[in-house]
Amino acid sequence: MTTSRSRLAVLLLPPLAAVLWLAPAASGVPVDQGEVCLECHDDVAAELRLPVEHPPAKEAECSSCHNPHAARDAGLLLERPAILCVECHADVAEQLGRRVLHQPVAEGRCTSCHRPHGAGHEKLLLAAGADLCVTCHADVAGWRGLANQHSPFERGRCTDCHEPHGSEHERLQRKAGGEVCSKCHPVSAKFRSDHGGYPVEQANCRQCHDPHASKQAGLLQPNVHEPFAAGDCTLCHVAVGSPAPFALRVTQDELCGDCHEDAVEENRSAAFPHVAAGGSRCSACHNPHGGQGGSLLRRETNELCLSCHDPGGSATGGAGHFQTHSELGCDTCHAPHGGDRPVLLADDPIELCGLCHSHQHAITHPLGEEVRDPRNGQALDCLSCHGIHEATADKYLHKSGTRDLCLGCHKDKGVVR
Amino acid sequence: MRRGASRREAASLVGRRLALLVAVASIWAAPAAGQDGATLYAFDEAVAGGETLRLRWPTAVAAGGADEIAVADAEGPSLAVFRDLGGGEGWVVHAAIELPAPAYSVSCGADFYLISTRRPGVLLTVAKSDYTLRELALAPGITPGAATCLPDDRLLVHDLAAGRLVVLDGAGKVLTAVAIAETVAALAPGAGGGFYAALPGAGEVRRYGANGEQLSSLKLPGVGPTPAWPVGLAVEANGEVVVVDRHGGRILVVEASGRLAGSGSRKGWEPGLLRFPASLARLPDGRVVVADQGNGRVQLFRRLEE
Repeated sequence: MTTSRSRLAVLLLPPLAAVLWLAPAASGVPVDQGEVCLECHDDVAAELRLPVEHPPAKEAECSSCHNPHAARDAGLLLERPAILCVECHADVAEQLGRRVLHQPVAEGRCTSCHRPHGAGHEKLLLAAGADLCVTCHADVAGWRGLANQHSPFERGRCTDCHEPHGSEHERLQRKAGGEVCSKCHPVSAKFRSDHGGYPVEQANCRQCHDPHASKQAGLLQPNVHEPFAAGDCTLCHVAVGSPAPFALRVTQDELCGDCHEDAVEENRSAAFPHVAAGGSRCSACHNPHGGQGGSLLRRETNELCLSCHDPGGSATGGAGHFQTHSELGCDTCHAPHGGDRPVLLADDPIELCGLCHSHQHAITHPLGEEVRDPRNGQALDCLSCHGIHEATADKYLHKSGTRDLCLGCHKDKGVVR
Repeated sequence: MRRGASRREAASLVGRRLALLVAVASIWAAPAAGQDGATLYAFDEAVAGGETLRLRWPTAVAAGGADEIAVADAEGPSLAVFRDLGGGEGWVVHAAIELPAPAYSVSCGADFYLISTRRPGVLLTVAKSDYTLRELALAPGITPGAATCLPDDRLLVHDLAAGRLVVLDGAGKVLTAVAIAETVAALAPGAGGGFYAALPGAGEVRRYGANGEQLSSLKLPGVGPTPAWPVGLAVEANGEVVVVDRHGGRILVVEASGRLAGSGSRKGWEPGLLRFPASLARLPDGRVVVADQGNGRVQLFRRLEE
């Protein structure tokens, strides 16, 4: 009897082992996932009652996305959302290679906009149209109160002009420059006459118009350059019928200097000129027709500066490498046209910092011309210890203030461990 | 429901996920990669001046020979000429020339230093024989930014006013003009009459042929999200371009093909480190000298074998 049982065991063992080996771990137990999982996950059950359902959730394929036992990622997900979602959504995967990515996409935060099980809005969005966008883009709320509204914006149809995931164009536009506008605003005789006969369809509409809303009629930029407001195009441009009608009469240096001599001279005579502003480059920062900010700047000051000095950060909506010091504007410390000090500092760092930190002047480590930095022989100032934009330690210090920073200069005080 | 998923399907699924993981990870990791390659330059020595003249904010540097460098300082403003006396004495101030305005660029011709102060219609020269300062008139309308000397007594100038690069003959007549929208921080002669331009805003070095045609663009890697900010360059005989990155405090070496060959130094205060470097020049012995503006000195770096 014992022998025959042993023989039976020997016969059965290989197929049994094969079955166990081949059975996938997660799907080895034939259960109705919808029934079993929803026994505990009431929140998911509630989402599944919403009008738009995610097909795997609807089909109770919970293990398509979740590991029922354990996982490295939150929500027992098989992978991070960025990887998991694009397994099926190949169209989104394709968009990841585009030049400009929406920040949540760049960071793999799909669920910042989409609900993974079910939602009340198409494409499983957390909210409809602009109501969703405004949750991050707070400026949208401000535009809603303005007198003149662009129709798609007013109707909350952000995606008429913007790609939600990625685009080859700035600001996630569906098409470049004015191309996105010409879909609804084709060139006609009236269009031409409204623009003084200039072939503006070849230009970027945003030069003059705010595509969302404006206090100005015709959705013109909120702050308009005087000659532009007066329709005096030929004050700056050559005549409309010339071969290059947008060309300037003279160089920007000369043209802008006619009225803004001080600003141009600040650059011209600076020991440390702002290279972008250097010679006929006023329009690198200023919009000669109209602007969002004061001084006809193309963008809000910090955003404008970071667009060149930290594009990796600003392109994704963050500050990237450069920290902002207490939300100050770049022009609090830097002279935008040029100055007498390196990195366009508007004053001696000790004086500059002292404008706000006067208390530290009384209690600080010795500073000034009489105190030399042993590392480079230069006068010690606030920036010898504080990094402001790229500091890694508290209080904007270059290194930890408890030891490492001090020992950089006071090497004789180091303790051998 | 995938209750009966076979092992092959599971393996396929794992394979697809791995492939996706690699693809997505590469997209996410690419911008952050700090790929400076091999260390190709090592610190040699620092030059800051002495009691008679101490550098404060060097804006530009040029090599006048194997044992002479000229440094423009915004303090003064002045042009300080240093000579290497050797024998343990090192680099000492040999001459100091007062300048009418801070220099934006300095380069070296056969027998003079060429200086641009961005003054419309004028470049300055300082004779290497007696350090006499002279004005060199340019064609009307030219506002010089970066400038350098080319072979055959020609000059290459970035005309700030018109947004173009112009090649001038010895008499100041325009021989070639190339439109350039970006700001040019430095220029250097290349092989066969061509030239190179460092464009900080674009984070690249552009190579031009003898007739001003653009041949290639060498995109430089940044440090993390901070873009490279090339402000000085020199070209080796083999076509390698040596660039100094102002924001990254690095020397980068880029092969003619565009491949990054390596780098040297990093951001900091100590000797051998750079803080907001402003300019770079190559000495005949292969060393490079960098105007280390933030540290108030110039530093020499020697080339290491790969």
